[in-house]
Amino acid sequence: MSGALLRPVPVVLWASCGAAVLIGGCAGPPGLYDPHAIERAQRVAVLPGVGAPGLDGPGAGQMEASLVITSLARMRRFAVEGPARLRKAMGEEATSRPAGGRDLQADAARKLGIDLLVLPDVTDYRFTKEWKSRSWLVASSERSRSDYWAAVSVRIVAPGDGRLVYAGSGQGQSDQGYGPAVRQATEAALAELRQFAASRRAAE
Amino acid sequence: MSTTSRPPTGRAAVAVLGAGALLALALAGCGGKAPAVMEKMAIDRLHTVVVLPLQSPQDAGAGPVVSGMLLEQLAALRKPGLSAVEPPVLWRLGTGPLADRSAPVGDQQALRIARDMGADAVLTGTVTYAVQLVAGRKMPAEMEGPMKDMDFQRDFAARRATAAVNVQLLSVADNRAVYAHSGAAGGDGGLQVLRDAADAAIAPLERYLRQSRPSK
Repeated sequence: MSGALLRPVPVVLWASCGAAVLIGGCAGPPGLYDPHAIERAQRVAVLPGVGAPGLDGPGAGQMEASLVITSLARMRRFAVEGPARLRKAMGEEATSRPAGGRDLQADAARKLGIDLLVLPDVTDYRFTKEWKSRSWLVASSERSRSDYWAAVSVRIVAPGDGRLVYAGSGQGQSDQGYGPAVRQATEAALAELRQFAASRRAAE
Repeated sequence: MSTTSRPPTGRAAVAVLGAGALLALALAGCGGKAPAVMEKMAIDRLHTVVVLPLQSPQDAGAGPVVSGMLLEQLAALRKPGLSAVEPPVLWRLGTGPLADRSAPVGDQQALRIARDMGADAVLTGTVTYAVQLVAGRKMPAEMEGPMKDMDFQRDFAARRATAAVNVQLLSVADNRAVYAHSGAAGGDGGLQVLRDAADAAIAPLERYLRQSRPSK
Protein backbone atom coordinates (compact mmCIF):
# COMPACT_ATOMS: atom_id res chain seq x y z
CA MET A 1 0.00 0.00 0.00
CA SER A 2 1.37 3.41 -0.87
CA GLY A 3 2.02 6.22 1.56
CA ALA A 4 -0.48 8.38 -0.27
CA LEU A 5 -3.22 5.89 0.52
CA LEU A 6 -2.20 5.62 4.13
CA ARG A 7 -2.11 9.33 4.85
CA PRO A 8 -5.87 10.11 5.01
CA VAL A 9 -6.59 7.26 7.45
CA PRO A 10 -5.32 8.83 10.68
CA VAL A 11 -6.84 12.17 9.72
CA VAL A 12 -10.33 10.71 9.40
CA LEU A 13 -9.82 8.54 12.47
CA TRP A 14 -8.88 11.51 14.58
CA ALA A 15 -11.61 13.61 13.00
CA SER A 16 -14.27 11.03 13.87
CA CYS A 17 -12.83 10.67 17.38
CA GLY A 18 -12.76 14.44 17.71
CA ALA A 19 -16.37 14.74 16.58
CA ALA A 20 -17.33 12.04 19.02
CA VAL A 21 -15.52 13.86 21.82
CA LEU A 22 -17.32 17.07 20.93
CA ILE A 23 -20.64 15.26 21.10
CA GLY A 24 -19.91 13.14 24.14
CA GLY A 25 -17.73 15.47 26.16
CA CYS A 26 -14.14 15.03 27.23
CA ALA A 27 -14.63 11.43 28.32
CA GLY A 28 -15.16 10.41 24.68
CA PRO A 29 -18.11 8.67 23.11
CA PRO A 30 -19.93 6.44 25.56
CA GLY A 31 -19.58 3.17 23.69
CA LEU A 32 -16.37 3.52 21.76
CA TYR A 33 -13.53 2.67 24.13
CA ASP A 34 -10.72 1.96 21.71
CA PRO A 35 -11.19 3.27 18.17
CA HIS A 36 -7.66 2.20 17.28
CA ALA A 37 -8.38 -1.45 18.05
CA ILE A 38 -11.49 -1.29 15.87
CA GLU A 39 -9.51 0.52 13.23
CA ARG A 40 -6.91 -2.24 13.14
CA ALA A 41 -9.33 -5.17 13.32
CA GLN A 42 -9.90 -7.18 10.18
CA ARG A 43 -11.64 -10.28 11.46
CA VAL A 44 -14.11 -10.58 14.32
CA ALA A 45 -15.80 -13.62 15.87
CA VAL A 46 -19.31 -13.38 17.30
CA LEU A 47 -19.75 -15.58 20.37
CA PRO A 48 -23.05 -17.21 21.40
CA GLY A 49 -25.35 -14.70 23.04
CA VAL A 50 -26.76 -15.02 26.53
CA GLY A 51 -30.55 -15.22 26.65
CA ALA A 52 -32.55 -12.70 28.61
CA PRO A 53 -33.66 -13.26 32.18
CA GLY A 54 -37.31 -13.93 32.80
CA LEU A 55 -39.98 -16.19 31.40
CA ASP A 56 -39.60 -15.71 27.67
CA GLY A 57 -35.97 -14.93 27.01
CA PRO A 58 -33.74 -17.97 27.61
CA GLY A 59 -33.56 -18.93 23.92
CA ALA A 60 -33.12 -15.42 22.57
CA GLY A 61 -29.32 -15.34 22.74
CA GLN A 62 -28.87 -17.50 19.66
CA MET A 63 -31.13 -15.28 17.57
CA GLU A 64 -29.27 -12.22 18.77
CA ALA A 65 -25.89 -13.69 17.77
CA SER A 66 -27.24 -14.29 14.24
CA LEU A 67 -28.56 -10.74 13.99
CA VAL A 68 -25.25 -9.30 15.16
CA ILE A 69 -23.34 -11.37 12.59
CA THR A 70 -25.62 -10.04 9.83
CA SER A 71 -25.45 -6.47 11.05
CA LEU A 72 -21.64 -6.50 11.35
CA ALA A 73 -21.26 -8.10 7.90
CA ARG A 74 -23.40 -5.34 6.40
CA MET A 75 -20.95 -2.76 7.69
CA ARG A 76 -18.43 -4.12 5.17
CA ARG A 77 -15.66 -3.32 7.58
CA PHE A 78 -14.70 -6.69 9.06
CA ALA A 79 -14.64 -10.32 8.05
CA VAL A 80 -17.26 -11.74 10.42
CA GLU A 81 -17.57 -15.30 11.63
CA GLY A 82 -19.55 -17.28 14.20
CA PRO A 83 -18.05 -19.23 17.09
CA ALA A 84 -17.43 -22.56 15.29
CA ARG A 85 -13.70 -22.28 14.57
CA LEU A 86 -12.97 -20.72 17.95
CA ARG A 87 -14.97 -23.43 19.72
CA LYS A 88 -13.01 -26.11 17.91
CA ALA A 89 -9.66 -24.48 18.56
CA MET A 90 -10.33 -23.77 22.23
CA GLY A 91 -12.43 -26.82 23.01
CA GLU A 92 -9.64 -29.24 22.16
CA GLU A 93 -7.38 -27.82 24.85
CA ALA A 94 -9.90 -26.46 27.35
CA THR A 95 -9.81 -29.44 29.68
CA SER A 96 -6.05 -29.24 30.10
CA ARG A 97 -6.18 -25.58 31.22
CA PRO A 98 -7.83 -25.41 34.61
CA ALA A 99 -8.12 -21.66 35.18
CA GLY A 100 -9.84 -19.03 33.10
CA GLY A 101 -8.10 -19.76 29.83
CA ARG A 102 -6.74 -16.35 28.89
CA ASP A 103 -3.69 -17.78 27.15
CA LEU A 104 -5.83 -20.41 25.48
CA GLN A 105 -8.14 -17.71 24.15
CA ALA A 106 -5.29 -15.46 23.04
CA ASP A 107 -3.48 -18.35 21.33
CA ALA A 108 -6.60 -19.54 19.52
CA ALA A 109 -7.53 -16.05 18.34
CA ARG A 110 -4.01 -15.41 17.10
CA LYS A 111 -3.89 -18.74 15.29
CA LEU A 112 -7.25 -18.08 13.60
CA GLY A 113 -6.50 -14.47 12.78
CA ILE A 114 -9.36 -13.20 14.97
CA ASP A 115 -8.70 -9.67 16.14
CA LEU A 116 -11.76 -9.01 18.29
CA LEU A 117 -14.46 -11.00 20.06
CA VAL A 118 -18.07 -9.85 19.92
CA LEU A 119 -20.29 -10.71 22.90
CA PRO A 120 -24.00 -10.19 22.28
CA ASP A 121 -26.45 -10.48 25.18
CA VAL A 122 -30.20 -10.13 25.23
CA THR A 123 -31.00 -8.18 28.36
CA ASP A 124 -34.76 -7.88 28.05
CA TYR A 125 -37.22 -10.04 26.12
CA ARG A 126 -40.88 -10.01 27.07
CA PHE A 127 -44.30 -9.17 25.82
CA THR A 128 -47.30 -7.46 27.24
CA LYS A 129 -50.83 -8.17 26.14
CA GLU A 130 -53.76 -5.98 26.95
CA TRP A 131 -57.43 -6.30 26.40
CA LYS A 132 -59.08 -3.24 24.93
CA SER A 133 -62.83 -2.81 24.94
CA ARG A 134 -64.96 0.08 23.84
CA SER A 135 -68.68 0.58 24.26
CA TRP A 136 -70.96 2.75 22.23
CA LEU A 137 -74.70 3.20 22.52
CA VAL A 138 -75.56 0.45 20.06
CA ALA A 139 -72.44 -1.67 19.88
CA SER A 140 -69.15 -2.51 21.49
CA SER A 141 -65.77 -3.67 20.25
CA GLU A 142 -63.19 -5.77 21.96
CA ARG A 143 -59.68 -6.64 20.92
CA SER A 144 -56.35 -7.53 22.41
CA ARG A 145 -53.08 -5.77 21.75
CA SER A 146 -49.65 -7.34 22.14
CA ASP A 147 -46.42 -5.45 22.46
CA TYR A 148 -43.05 -7.15 22.23
CA TRP A 149 -40.10 -5.62 24.05
CA ALA A 150 -36.44 -6.38 23.61
CA ALA A 151 -33.16 -4.92 24.79
CA VAL A 152 -29.70 -6.07 23.81
CA SER A 153 -26.15 -5.30 24.77
CA VAL A 154 -23.15 -5.86 22.50
CA ARG A 155 -19.61 -5.77 23.87
CA ILE A 156 -16.50 -6.13 21.78
CA VAL A 157 -13.33 -7.15 23.56
CA ALA A 158 -9.70 -7.80 22.76
CA PRO A 159 -9.03 -11.55 22.97
CA GLY A 160 -5.59 -11.13 24.56
CA ASP A 161 -6.55 -9.28 27.73
CA GLY A 162 -10.36 -8.98 27.72
CA ARG A 163 -10.15 -5.20 27.44
CA LEU A 164 -13.36 -3.49 26.37
CA VAL A 165 -13.11 -2.00 22.91
CA TYR A 166 -16.76 -1.20 22.27
CA ALA A 167 -19.99 -1.41 24.25
CA GLY A 168 -23.40 -0.56 22.91
CA SER A 169 -26.93 -1.23 24.01
CA GLY A 170 -30.30 -0.71 22.44
CA GLN A 171 -33.99 -1.27 22.97
CA GLY A 172 -36.79 -2.15 20.60
CA GLN A 173 -40.54 -2.51 20.72
CA SER A 174 -43.00 -3.85 18.17
CA ASP A 175 -46.57 -5.10 17.94
CA GLN A 176 -45.49 -7.43 15.12
CA GLY A 177 -43.51 -9.93 17.17
CA TYR A 178 -40.14 -10.41 18.80
CA GLY A 179 -38.19 -10.38 15.51
CA PRO A 180 -38.68 -6.69 14.67
CA ALA A 181 -38.16 -5.68 18.32
CA VAL A 182 -34.84 -7.52 18.59
CA ARG A 183 -33.71 -6.21 15.19
CA GLN A 184 -34.43 -2.62 16.30
CA ALA A 185 -32.53 -3.16 19.53
CA THR A 186 -29.55 -4.72 17.73
CA GLU A 187 -29.30 -1.90 15.22
CA ALA A 188 -29.41 0.65 18.05
CA ALA A 189 -26.70 -1.22 19.98
CA LEU A 190 -24.39 -1.17 16.96
CA ALA A 191 -25.26 2.34 15.78
CA GLU A 192 -22.11 4.00 17.02
CA LEU A 193 -19.90 1.27 15.56
CA ARG A 194 -21.76 1.50 12.24
CA GLN A 195 -21.19 5.24 12.17
CA PHE A 196 -17.50 4.76 12.86
CA ALA A 197 -17.21 2.04 10.19
CA ALA A 198 -19.00 4.24 7.66
CA SER A 199 -16.63 7.12 8.31
CA ARG A 200 -13.69 4.78 7.84
CA ARG A 201 -15.10 3.33 4.64
CA ALA A 202 -15.63 6.81 3.30
CA ALA A 203 -12.00 7.60 4.01
CA GLU A 204 -10.82 4.58 2.09
CA MET B 1 -61.20 -5.51 36.55
CA SER B 2 -61.20 -9.22 35.99
CA THR B 3 -60.94 -11.12 39.22
CA THR B 4 -62.85 -14.32 38.54
CA SER B 5 -61.72 -17.34 40.49
CA ARG B 6 -58.74 -19.18 39.07
CA PRO B 7 -58.20 -22.94 39.25
CA PRO B 8 -55.84 -24.07 42.01
CA THR B 9 -53.02 -24.87 39.56
CA GLY B 10 -52.79 -21.21 38.59
CA ARG B 11 -52.77 -20.04 42.19
CA ALA B 12 -50.03 -22.50 42.94
CA ALA B 13 -47.93 -21.15 40.09
CA VAL B 14 -48.43 -17.58 41.26
CA ALA B 15 -47.64 -18.59 44.82
CA VAL B 16 -44.38 -20.28 43.78
CA LEU B 17 -43.30 -17.27 41.77
CA GLY B 18 -44.31 -14.97 44.60
CA ALA B 19 -42.29 -17.00 47.06
CA GLY B 20 -39.30 -16.71 44.73
CA ALA B 21 -39.74 -12.96 44.65
CA LEU B 22 -39.84 -12.75 48.44
CA LEU B 23 -36.77 -14.98 48.66
CA ALA B 24 -34.95 -12.64 46.30
CA LEU B 25 -35.72 -9.68 48.53
CA ALA B 26 -34.78 -11.61 51.65
CA LEU B 27 -31.42 -12.62 50.17
CA ALA B 28 -30.70 -9.02 49.35
CA GLY B 29 -30.82 -8.15 53.02
CA CYS B 30 -33.57 -5.57 53.41
CA GLY B 31 -33.06 -3.76 50.13
CA GLY B 32 -29.31 -3.28 50.39
CA LYS B 33 -29.50 -0.90 53.35
CA ALA B 34 -26.60 -2.59 55.12
CA PRO B 35 -23.42 -0.55 54.69
CA ALA B 36 -20.95 -1.70 52.07
CA VAL B 37 -17.72 -3.39 53.06
CA MET B 38 -15.05 -1.21 51.50
CA GLU B 39 -11.31 -1.17 52.11
CA LYS B 40 -10.31 2.01 50.40
CA MET B 41 -6.55 1.60 50.62
CA ALA B 42 -6.72 -1.85 49.07
CA ILE B 43 -9.06 -0.58 46.35
CA ASP B 44 -6.60 2.22 45.55
CA ARG B 45 -3.99 -0.40 44.67
CA LEU B 46 -6.15 -2.10 42.05
CA HIS B 47 -5.48 -1.55 38.37
CA THR B 48 -7.18 -4.41 36.53
CA VAL B 49 -10.48 -5.90 37.62
CA VAL B 50 -11.91 -8.92 35.85
CA VAL B 51 -15.71 -9.09 36.05
CA LEU B 52 -16.87 -12.69 36.16
CA PRO B 53 -20.38 -13.68 35.08
CA LEU B 54 -22.40 -13.55 38.28
CA GLN B 55 -24.03 -16.75 39.46
CA SER B 56 -27.78 -16.96 39.05
CA PRO B 57 -29.02 -20.45 39.83
CA GLN B 58 -32.69 -19.52 39.41
CA ASP B 59 -32.31 -17.81 36.06
CA ALA B 60 -29.33 -18.58 33.83
CA GLY B 61 -29.55 -15.26 31.97
CA ALA B 62 -29.67 -12.90 34.94
CA GLY B 63 -26.07 -13.36 36.16
CA PRO B 64 -24.28 -12.68 32.84
CA VAL B 65 -26.62 -9.77 32.06
CA VAL B 66 -25.85 -8.09 35.38
CA SER B 67 -22.11 -8.74 35.12
CA GLY B 68 -22.20 -7.11 31.69
CA MET B 69 -23.87 -4.05 33.23
CA LEU B 70 -21.29 -3.89 36.01
CA LEU B 71 -18.39 -4.23 33.58
CA GLU B 72 -19.74 -1.43 31.42
CA GLN B 73 -20.36 0.76 34.47
CA LEU B 74 -16.81 0.35 35.73
CA ALA B 75 -15.35 0.83 32.24
CA ALA B 76 -17.48 3.91 31.67
CA LEU B 77 -15.77 5.62 34.61
CA ARG B 78 -12.69 5.81 32.35
CA LYS B 79 -10.39 6.09 35.32
CA PRO B 80 -6.70 6.29 34.54
CA GLY B 81 -4.90 3.22 35.76
CA LEU B 82 -8.09 1.23 36.26
CA SER B 83 -9.38 -1.27 33.71
CA ALA B 84 -12.43 -3.51 33.94
CA VAL B 85 -11.97 -6.54 31.73
CA GLU B 86 -14.07 -9.40 30.40
CA PRO B 87 -13.15 -12.94 31.50
CA PRO B 88 -12.15 -15.52 28.88
CA VAL B 89 -15.13 -16.51 26.73
CA LEU B 90 -14.75 -20.26 27.23
CA TRP B 91 -17.92 -20.34 29.32
CA ARG B 92 -19.94 -19.00 26.40
CA LEU B 93 -18.76 -21.99 24.39
CA GLY B 94 -20.11 -24.32 27.07
CA THR B 95 -16.80 -25.36 28.57
CA GLY B 96 -14.28 -24.26 31.21
CA PRO B 97 -14.72 -23.51 34.92
CA LEU B 98 -17.48 -20.90 34.49
CA ALA B 99 -19.69 -22.86 32.09
CA ASP B 100 -22.02 -24.22 34.76
CA ARG B 101 -24.15 -21.21 35.65
CA SER B 102 -25.81 -22.97 38.57
CA ALA B 103 -22.62 -23.99 40.39
CA PRO B 104 -21.14 -21.34 42.67
CA VAL B 105 -17.66 -20.06 41.85
CA GLY B 106 -15.58 -20.25 45.01
CA ASP B 107 -13.37 -17.34 46.09
CA GLN B 108 -10.19 -19.29 45.45
CA GLN B 109 -11.32 -20.31 41.99
CA ALA B 110 -12.27 -16.71 41.18
CA LEU B 111 -8.88 -15.50 42.41
CA ARG B 112 -7.16 -18.17 40.31
CA ILE B 113 -8.96 -16.86 37.22
CA ALA B 114 -7.89 -13.31 38.10
CA ARG B 115 -4.27 -14.40 38.47
CA ASP B 116 -4.45 -16.27 35.18
CA MET B 117 -5.63 -13.07 33.53
CA GLY B 118 -2.94 -10.97 35.15
CA ALA B 119 -5.62 -8.99 37.02
CA ASP B 120 -5.36 -7.47 40.50
CA ALA B 121 -8.91 -8.25 41.48
CA VAL B 122 -12.04 -10.12 40.49
CA LEU B 123 -15.64 -9.01 40.82
CA THR B 124 -17.94 -11.91 41.53
CA GLY B 125 -21.30 -12.50 43.17
CA THR B 126 -24.86 -13.73 42.76
CA VAL B 127 -28.10 -12.55 41.25
CA THR B 128 -31.59 -13.70 42.10
CA TYR B 129 -34.38 -12.69 39.78
CA ALA B 130 -37.99 -13.70 40.03
CA VAL B 131 -41.05 -12.77 38.04
CA GLN B 132 -44.46 -12.87 39.59
CA LEU B 133 -47.52 -13.09 37.37
CA VAL B 134 -50.21 -10.82 38.74
CA ALA B 135 -53.78 -11.36 37.59
CA GLY B 136 -55.86 -8.27 37.22
CA ARG B 137 -55.46 -6.76 33.79
CA LYS B 138 -58.61 -5.18 32.45
CA MET B 139 -60.47 -7.97 30.75
CA PRO B 140 -64.11 -9.05 30.75
CA ALA B 141 -64.83 -12.05 32.90
CA GLU B 142 -66.73 -13.85 30.12
CA MET B 143 -63.54 -13.75 28.02
CA GLU B 144 -61.28 -14.82 30.83
CA GLY B 145 -63.45 -17.73 31.95
CA PRO B 146 -62.97 -20.09 29.00
CA MET B 147 -59.23 -19.51 28.81
CA LYS B 148 -56.96 -22.17 30.11
CA ASP B 149 -55.36 -20.93 33.27
CA MET B 150 -51.74 -20.92 32.18
CA ASP B 151 -52.67 -19.34 28.85
CA PHE B 152 -54.25 -16.51 30.77
CA GLN B 153 -51.22 -16.12 32.95
CA ARG B 154 -48.72 -16.24 30.10
CA ASP B 155 -50.65 -13.87 27.89
CA PHE B 156 -52.53 -11.37 29.97
CA ALA B 157 -51.23 -11.33 33.50
CA ALA B 158 -49.22 -8.32 34.53
CA ARG B 159 -45.70 -9.12 35.66
CA ARG B 160 -43.92 -7.98 38.75
CA ALA B 161 -40.23 -8.69 39.00
CA THR B 162 -37.84 -8.55 41.92
CA ALA B 163 -34.07 -8.74 41.71
CA ALA B 164 -31.29 -8.95 44.25
CA VAL B 165 -27.62 -8.54 43.39
CA ASN B 166 -24.76 -9.37 45.75
CA VAL B 167 -21.24 -8.50 44.67
CA GLN B 168 -17.79 -8.83 46.15
CA LEU B 169 -14.49 -7.58 44.87
CA LEU B 170 -11.69 -9.99 45.72
CA SER B 171 -8.16 -8.66 45.76
CA VAL B 172 -5.47 -11.02 44.50
CA ALA B 173 -2.76 -9.40 46.64
CA ASP B 174 -4.88 -9.39 49.81
CA ASN B 175 -6.53 -12.74 49.07
CA ARG B 176 -9.90 -11.49 50.40
CA ALA B 177 -12.84 -9.25 49.64
CA VAL B 178 -12.02 -5.55 49.64
CA TYR B 179 -15.56 -4.55 48.67
CA ALA B 180 -18.88 -6.26 49.25
CA HIS B 181 -22.38 -4.94 48.95
CA SER B 182 -25.86 -5.89 47.85
CA GLY B 183 -28.79 -4.20 46.20
CA ALA B 184 -32.40 -5.07 45.53
CA ALA B 185 -35.14 -3.67 43.36
CA GLY B 186 -38.66 -4.41 42.20
CA GLY B 187 -40.85 -3.24 39.38
CA ASP B 188 -42.93 -4.13 36.36
CA GLY B 189 -40.37 -6.53 34.94
CA GLY B 190 -37.82 -6.04 32.27
CA LEU B 191 -34.35 -4.67 32.30
CA GLN B 192 -34.80 -1.74 34.66
CA VAL B 193 -35.33 -3.92 37.70
CA LEU B 194 -32.00 -5.67 37.19
CA ARG B 195 -30.29 -2.38 36.41
CA ASP B 196 -31.61 -0.78 39.60
CA ALA B 197 -30.45 -3.73 41.72
CA ALA B 198 -27.02 -3.74 40.05
CA ASP B 199 -26.68 0.04 40.50
CA ALA B 200 -27.49 -0.28 44.18
CA ALA B 201 -24.92 -3.05 44.64
CA ILE B 202 -22.09 -1.17 42.95
CA ALA B 203 -22.99 2.41 43.91
CA PRO B 204 -20.65 2.89 46.91
CA LEU B 205 -17.67 1.54 44.96
CA GLU B 206 -18.51 3.62 41.91
CA ARG B 207 -18.90 6.73 44.08
CA TYR B 208 -15.55 6.12 45.74
CA LEU B 209 -13.77 5.53 42.43
CA ARG B 210 -15.25 8.73 41.00
CA GLN B 211 -13.96 10.71 43.96
CA SER B 212 -10.62 9.05 44.42
CA ARG B 213 -9.28 9.00 40.88
CA PRO B 214 -9.68 11.82 38.41
CA SER B 215 -11.33 10.96 35.08
CA LYS B 216 -9.35 10.75 31.90
